[in-house]
Amino acid sequence: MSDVDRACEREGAGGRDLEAHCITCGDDGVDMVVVGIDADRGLALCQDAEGQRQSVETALVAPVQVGDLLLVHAGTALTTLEQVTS
Amino acid sequence: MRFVDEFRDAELGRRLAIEIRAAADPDRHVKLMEVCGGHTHSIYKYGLDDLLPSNVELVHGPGCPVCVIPMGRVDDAIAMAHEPGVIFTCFGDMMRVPGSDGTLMDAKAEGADIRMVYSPLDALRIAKAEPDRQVVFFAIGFETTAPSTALTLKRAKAEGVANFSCFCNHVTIVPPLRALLDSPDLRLDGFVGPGHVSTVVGARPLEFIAADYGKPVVVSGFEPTDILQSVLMLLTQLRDGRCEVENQYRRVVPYDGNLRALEVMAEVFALRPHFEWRGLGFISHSGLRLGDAYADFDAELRYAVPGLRVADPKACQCGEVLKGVIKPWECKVFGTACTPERPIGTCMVSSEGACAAYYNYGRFAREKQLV
Repeated sequence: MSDVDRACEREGAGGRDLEAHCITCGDDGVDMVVVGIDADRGLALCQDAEGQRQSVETALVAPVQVGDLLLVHAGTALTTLEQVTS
Repeated sequence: MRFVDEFRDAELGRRLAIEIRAAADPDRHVKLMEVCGGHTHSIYKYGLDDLLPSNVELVHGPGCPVCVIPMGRVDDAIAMAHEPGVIFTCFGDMMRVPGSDGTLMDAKAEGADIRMVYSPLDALRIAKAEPDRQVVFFAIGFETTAPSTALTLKRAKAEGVANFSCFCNHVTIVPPLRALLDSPDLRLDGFVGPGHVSTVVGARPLEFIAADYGKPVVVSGFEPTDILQSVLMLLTQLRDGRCEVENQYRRVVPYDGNLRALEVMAEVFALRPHFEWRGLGFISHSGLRLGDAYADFDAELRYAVPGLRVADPKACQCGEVLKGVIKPWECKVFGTACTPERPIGTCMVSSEGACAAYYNYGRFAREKQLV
């Protein structure tokens, strides 16, 4: 079962995971660290504090480098929080 | 964890609460609206309202995009999902928002191919993996999610993904705030301003609140001490007779926003003349559609949908909750006929909806005891 299926199942059960946040609004962006870069496609592989990884669109904050901390919402990085590598 | 632990410091929170009591005028009842659903969620998760003096009231605003989607648009989404060959994609919360005849979850149970995605990019990926199917993405949200949709559409156009389209329901934050300020039945003294929306648009578009309506605004982060500090900054402005836009969330929000995001939105979207908001009615220039250059990707042009305006259920008082006129627990169906498991109104669906926040964090029980 994929993460998406699991989340979908949780939503189907009423979405009562109190620690889960609404992903639609952007008020609850996720801090993610860049762990890999696909410069050709303008994407970065990012990891959140729980170790979940996701491809992230980086066009709005490019250039990014491995170790950067990004504020990600709906799969798009909106801003760079910190240059961790420096 | 950096950027989290230091903003959840209990001792700092207690000190801020003491300063808030000192800054509040004891002879004045102050109403502050937190615009974002994310703020509402944090306030009730951390019990921040319990730290405020009784004459400082927090009013919950319309900043949850799931909560403001009118029923007619959900009906349109369900109609698209039932089109032959369509894979309909949407964020998880939208699957449980009731239309006039059920939810997208119900439509999925009836056989429609509806899939939850975390981002529009996921929807585009599905379209590329299934070239024989039509993939529609249900785009909702304020300026935080609109750039993500815009970038995905640019990508779809550049890569020639013809089987991808977008049902655009993006909205903008400034017009509903103006509508609220013009509302005769609402008296507010200041605003805890939107955080991540301001990451994109900046704090500058909020200046009209101070300049035209004489209300202070503090753009705020979402951690507990962020919100307490923002309340303190608002009370300090009121005490000093100042009326300004201040930025508490400077670690994330540049005053002028993200210019690249604004550019890509301007390239892909166009303003609708008006758009319906649940509980607030039609608001001029508050919604986005796909611009003419992206008309080929516009699901509303690709599919015939009912396009009808559907009145909210009579028992539901989401409108009054969204305008801050009543508290969630004052709604007739709150916690009885309307619960997160079986929501009647949108405010009970999203975890950022005011009703769900009250319900999930025990406000209902507390308010009943007070009565």
